[in-house]
Amino acid sequence: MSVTSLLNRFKSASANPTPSESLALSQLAPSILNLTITDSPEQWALYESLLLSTLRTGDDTSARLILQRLSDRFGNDNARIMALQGIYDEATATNNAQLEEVLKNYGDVLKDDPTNIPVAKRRITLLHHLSKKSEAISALATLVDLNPTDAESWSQLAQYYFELSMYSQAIFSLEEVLLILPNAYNIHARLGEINYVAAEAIGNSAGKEVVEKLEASLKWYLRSVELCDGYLRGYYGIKTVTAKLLESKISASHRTIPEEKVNKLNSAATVQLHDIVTGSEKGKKGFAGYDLAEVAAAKELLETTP
Amino acid sequence: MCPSGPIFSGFEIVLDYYVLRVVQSPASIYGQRHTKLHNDEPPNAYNLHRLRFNLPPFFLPRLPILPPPTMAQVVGQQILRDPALFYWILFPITIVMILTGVLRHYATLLLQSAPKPLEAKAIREQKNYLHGINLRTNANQIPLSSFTSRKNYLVQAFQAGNFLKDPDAKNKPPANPMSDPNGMDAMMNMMKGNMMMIVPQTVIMGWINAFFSGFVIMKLPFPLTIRFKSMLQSGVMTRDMDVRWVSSLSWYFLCLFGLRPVFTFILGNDNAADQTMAQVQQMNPQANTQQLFGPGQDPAKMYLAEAENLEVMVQHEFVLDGIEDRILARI
Amino acid sequence: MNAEERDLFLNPIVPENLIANSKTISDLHSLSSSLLGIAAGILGLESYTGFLFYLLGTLFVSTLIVTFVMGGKPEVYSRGGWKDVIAADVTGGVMGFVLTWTLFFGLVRV
Repeated sequence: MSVTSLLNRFKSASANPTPSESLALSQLAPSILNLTITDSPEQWALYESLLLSTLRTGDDTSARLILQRLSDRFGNDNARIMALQGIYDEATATNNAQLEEVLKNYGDVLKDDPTNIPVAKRRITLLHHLSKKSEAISALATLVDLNPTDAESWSQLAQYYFELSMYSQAIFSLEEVLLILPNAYNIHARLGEINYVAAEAIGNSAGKEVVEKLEASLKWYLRSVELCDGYLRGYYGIKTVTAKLLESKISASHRTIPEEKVNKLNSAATVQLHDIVTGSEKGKKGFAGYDLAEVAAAKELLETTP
Repeated sequence: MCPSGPIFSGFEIVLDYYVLRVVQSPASIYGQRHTKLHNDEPPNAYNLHRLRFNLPPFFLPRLPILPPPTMAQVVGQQILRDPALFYWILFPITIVMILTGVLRHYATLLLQSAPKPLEAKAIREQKNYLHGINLRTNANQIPLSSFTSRKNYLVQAFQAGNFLKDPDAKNKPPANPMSDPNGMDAMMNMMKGNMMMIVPQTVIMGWINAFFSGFVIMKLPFPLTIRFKSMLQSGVMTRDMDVRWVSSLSWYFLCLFGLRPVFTFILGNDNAADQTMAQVQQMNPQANTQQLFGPGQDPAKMYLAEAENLEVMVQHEFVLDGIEDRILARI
Repeated sequence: MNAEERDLFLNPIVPENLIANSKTISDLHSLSSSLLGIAAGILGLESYTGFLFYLLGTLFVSTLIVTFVMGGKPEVYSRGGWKDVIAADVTGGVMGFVLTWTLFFGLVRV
């Protein structure tokens, strides 16, 4: 197999691969490592992806070899290589004491060079993993102060805030992402999700505030499907939010979107979801690439609320 | 130069009489094939050429000597050339041009020095400036209240100079770009790029002029105006020859402009080069913080200007307004 | 905000995709124009007939691109629709065409 076809296999895997998926990918290690090194960008990208897969499945010897080749090529003091080395150390650590050691290493590196962004990011994820959530958030806040145009940092920050139920801060962070990437439909849908969760979290469930949040959520979802026609999460969200808005206990007086429109949107989303679920199950053309877990969830939603 | 032959004042005359034997159009009594013509050729014509070029005899055009043309006979000129011209001039030039292109491509890659990593304060200065620009261009993506609070914060911070690398330097004149090491770096890169273009071109043009000047090698399939004569027939000083007959230098120019598709096939589109760059930059993430503030620009002033731009923004049209109607209209 | 700006803003065009598409089109064009040049040279076309041949040839290639590569829906792939395809075609490949045309004209005919 050529480098490109191998790389495409890695690219087509989902962002959060299942164990069996990871195993299949990491079993490609011998064939990838036996290819002659052509020093093409694709090959190094392939090496990086393979490194992560082998670490997920515990193939530490292959991971070590990959890391060795990468650092032979790009040098040990390369910021990215340092971060990859860190990932290796984190993955091979067996107890928390070793992880603390890795954390200390990161701290030392950053003391020498505070602009080493990859290592700074590794340190933040490790802090978060070690349940030092507030420290992770403050470190991330320094990072976005250093570089407020990095979408990855902002969305990670949003995730951390969301986990702590600090919804308005999470929304703020995601809005920053939209300022950088105005066409990111997944971020729009995420904003819809967070608004929806925030509405759920408010205790009295029929107040003005709740309706406002739900409507905001609906609008974000709508924008996400406006930007991407077949976005499953967007339609799923529309269906859920409209169903919530149509519940009888929400008084019509607080609404800005009339009930009739909400109804129409609900049925439209149902139709779209139905199309996607059947299309994906039958493997129709144009319905490839959906996450199977998401399709299953959509199917379940369709079955419970016809 | 030619001890036994007649003495000529210049090479041009040789050409006029012996290289470009102009055959009048219908009266080509010799037929079309050069080999045949060669049999009738007086041996004298050879010697002149041999003296000038120490190349194998098949290189030389073997055509009969004909009287020089007069003005009236220009229409329908036909010049019979030796096919050796193609093997010894056309192909060498083409191959050299292609190889130079490939060489230039890789030399550019090699000479590309990675930009110096910036220190934290410089990154902060640049990225926060970009943040302001992003807010201004994508303001409509976020609700009005979010926009206003961000705007107020940034305008205040920009005006106070909170993000400046050294706030004390606010009122000083900008440093001389020649003395600024970063500026020098940028200029060096620019110069390298220019050198990569200029040097090979001069060398090849000189090479062509030294080796192949004075030959008519081909006929263009389309007519040109007389203005091109001096350029396309450089080295061939015949007054009456049709502009469509061109010398080796014109083939060089054609190659210069027309070889782009060939390069895209050999070097796999510019894309390949771009991607290598992307990879190199990916490997050192600081490298791609491009020089936002060019040498000689005052960041403090740019921040103030950006603050003003943000302040005067009045129109805000949230992209989510009326989205339900748009979606319903689409379904 | 006028109507066009508004439309662009609601249905944004992603620059990366636009660049990738135009690159694909220009690759096809440079290949086809070089081949057209070879054909014109071998056929021995001169002056206007040669350029006319190029024009007709590129129009034909553009039609092929629009119908097969773009699946008959050019407005999905480039903002200007089929006009963009033809404009890129006619302007982009001329030099390549002239080069191969001249070369093969010289090799075969003269």
